[in-house]
Amino acid sequence: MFRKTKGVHISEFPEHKHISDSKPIINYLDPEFVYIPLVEQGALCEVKVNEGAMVTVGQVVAMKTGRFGLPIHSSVSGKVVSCNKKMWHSSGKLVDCIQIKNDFLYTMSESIKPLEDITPENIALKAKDCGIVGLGGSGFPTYVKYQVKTAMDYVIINAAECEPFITCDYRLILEETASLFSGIKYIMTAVGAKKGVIAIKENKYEAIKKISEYIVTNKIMDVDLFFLKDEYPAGWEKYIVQRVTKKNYNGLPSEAGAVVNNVATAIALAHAIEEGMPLVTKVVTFTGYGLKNPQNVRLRIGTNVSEVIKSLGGYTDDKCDYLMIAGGPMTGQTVAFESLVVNRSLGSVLINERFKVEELPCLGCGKCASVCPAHLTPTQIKRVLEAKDTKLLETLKPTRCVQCGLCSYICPSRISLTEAVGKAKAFVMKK
Amino acid sequence: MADKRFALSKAPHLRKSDFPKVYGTSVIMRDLCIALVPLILFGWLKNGLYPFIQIDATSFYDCIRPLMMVIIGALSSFLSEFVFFLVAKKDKEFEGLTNYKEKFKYLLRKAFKSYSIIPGLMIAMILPLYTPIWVLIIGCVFGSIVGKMLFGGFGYNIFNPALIGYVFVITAFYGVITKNGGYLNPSEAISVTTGATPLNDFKLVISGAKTLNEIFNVHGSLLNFLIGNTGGSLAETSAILCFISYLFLVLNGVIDWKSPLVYIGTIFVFSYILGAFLGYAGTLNFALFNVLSGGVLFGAVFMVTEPVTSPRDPLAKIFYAMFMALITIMLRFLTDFNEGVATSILFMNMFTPVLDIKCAQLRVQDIMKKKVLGYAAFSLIAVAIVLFTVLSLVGGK
Repeated sequence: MFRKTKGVHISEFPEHKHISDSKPIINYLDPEFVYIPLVEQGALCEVKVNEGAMVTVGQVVAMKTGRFGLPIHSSVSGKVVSCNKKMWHSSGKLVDCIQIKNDFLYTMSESIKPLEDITPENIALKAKDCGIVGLGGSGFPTYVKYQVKTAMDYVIINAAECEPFITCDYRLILEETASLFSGIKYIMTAVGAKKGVIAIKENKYEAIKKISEYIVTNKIMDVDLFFLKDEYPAGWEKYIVQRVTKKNYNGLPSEAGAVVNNVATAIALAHAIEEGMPLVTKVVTFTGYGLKNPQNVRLRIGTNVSEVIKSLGGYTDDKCDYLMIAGGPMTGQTVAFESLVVNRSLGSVLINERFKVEELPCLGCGKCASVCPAHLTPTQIKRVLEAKDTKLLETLKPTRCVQCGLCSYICPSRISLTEAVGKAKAFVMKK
Repeated sequence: MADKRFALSKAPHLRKSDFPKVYGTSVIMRDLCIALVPLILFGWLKNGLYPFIQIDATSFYDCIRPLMMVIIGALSSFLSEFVFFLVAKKDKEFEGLTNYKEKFKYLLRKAFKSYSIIPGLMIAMILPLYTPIWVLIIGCVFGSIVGKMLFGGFGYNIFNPALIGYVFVITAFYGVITKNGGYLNPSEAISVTTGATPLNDFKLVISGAKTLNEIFNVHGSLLNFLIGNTGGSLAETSAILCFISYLFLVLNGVIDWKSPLVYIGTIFVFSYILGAFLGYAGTLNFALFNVLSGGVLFGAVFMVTEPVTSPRDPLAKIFYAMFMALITIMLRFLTDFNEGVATSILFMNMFTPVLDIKCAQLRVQDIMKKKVLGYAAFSLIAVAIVLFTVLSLVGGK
């Protein structure tokens, strides 16, 4: 027996998905310049090209060195203008980028060819060569997940998309169902799993209908739907694995015999294996009440977000005090300037109004503790952190926090609890 | 190309409190006040209007007295915090204001923001009907200043300010209150010969001088207790209205649904056990009487769940309510003291920080042995209280 992680159904929790979920994905694939960010998961990358060199689509322009090494590809063909152009990154920092001028020819690199010999090792290798990372937001290299020691029981496709506003995975399920299923098949081959599970929130009726129709018409026996409750954070890996496999794990989901991949990751893997295409395009949700025309847009990696916003019709009110958030509203990072580049783990760009409500003293209602999916008590952690009592802080286990943001969300006194627990987590980890 | 500049903030960027008119601390406090309204109205009906219609001798002053007490209580609490802010808690913003009108407005806003009327409202509701007005004002001022403001104001007080004021008044001025008329309204004063509330009579049941049925003969059946038509404090006697307030508060997300139920449930079970020792085994009346009298229900709904002074941790809330119930019964059965509910709440308020931290540790504990030991320690304390009460009750006979 284990203590299940908790999700909270908040009935008045506005999902705000309606503003972009009915519109088909549009393409914005011809930017004049692309800026390939040289930071991947916080690690710096080694540049492999010189200024002035000509590159092709899919050519490796940089390499992430170190433990989870990964190549970084050019997403257009053309001339390298600069290797240290400063641009804003979704981590909220200014990073170096390789600026490439698009020649609009899209000459393909010779290395792009489909995988013919489909074996588990080859799939993992192809995933590495094509630079596939978790597209749900973490950006964790996918091939690492496929290097399993024993065969897995389940391949779980995380289609929960539990954060409000984001709809890119939902649109991908509707528009690329066939690729999704072939992606699942490849992952199952890669890890030796007998069963594939698509974990989806029960209120996504259209997507559920589409998937079940596909399963019926193609007589797929080894992939099932798993319905998650309409809760937040239903897209948390641990939450899904515990419910699907009925087992607990502490480190990686492979301990419970499962590999979890995002919808977009599975589709990217299918493209990589069938066409040999590295991860050079991705679908990003542009949404929020600050945008005139919220949309899901297919972009090249390295596109400047400000161009896309302009092409979508700009902001509803230019004078309004907006927040620009890279990622979802609950976990995303605010960016100070519009010139953000699309990197591989960016899932959405959200423009929303900034609310200025003052913070009040803690009322003591305990709502934060009752909603915490990891069963933590944020108010206590905050209090002990302020007292700097390291020993006591460790017993409260702030390291389990997943920064889902629910405690701050629910707090009636508007206290920044998530931030405090995050600090406590860093404080304990440092010791 | 000029870059558009955006503001920065920390995640999450979506909060329930983005719309403070719909969700927030002020809304919670407003809902709490709304939940008190039916009880106040019932108190007025029972203690003011009904005797006024029934008995010719009562004056119009007696008719509006319950409402007046509530209003005076709220006002005196508000004013005492207003004066406190004026005298003791001047801040930079206040010093910056130049004219008196702005200063006045600023202080008014401050006093509103610290939700100052609630302690006064509650003190007036739980005091006896014929508390002299000056005693009421002393209670409210004491509760607000000593119980709340001296601890740092709203959100920082350790003890429930309403109960601080109440217990102070009831212990210091009990003689004055009884001389002035005490608990009973004019129509009850005629029908109830002994001039005592059900809880006063209950002490006689414990000592064996009376039987439970004799109490029911004097104060009416259990149905009477449910409606609240019995002698008691100004506006806390109605069980049904307490339940309606409970539902309202739970559905609006103001209070946690578990702790009132744990509190009432523990009182019910524990008093049934003690009743069995006193010869009332086999009947639920004894336990029901204990739950329905002496402000247990009012305490369960409004005091046990009082957010600032009760624990924050969900597990701690349950233990808090359970221990509080045990202490309530202990005080009720073993002492001549009437205020079991109020005292037990103040007593448990002291343990809120300890319970909070221990239960927060217990909830994230992985090692099964430590987890079991933690629960065992809590249950041992509970069992010890039960045994102690039973032994002293039976041994005293």
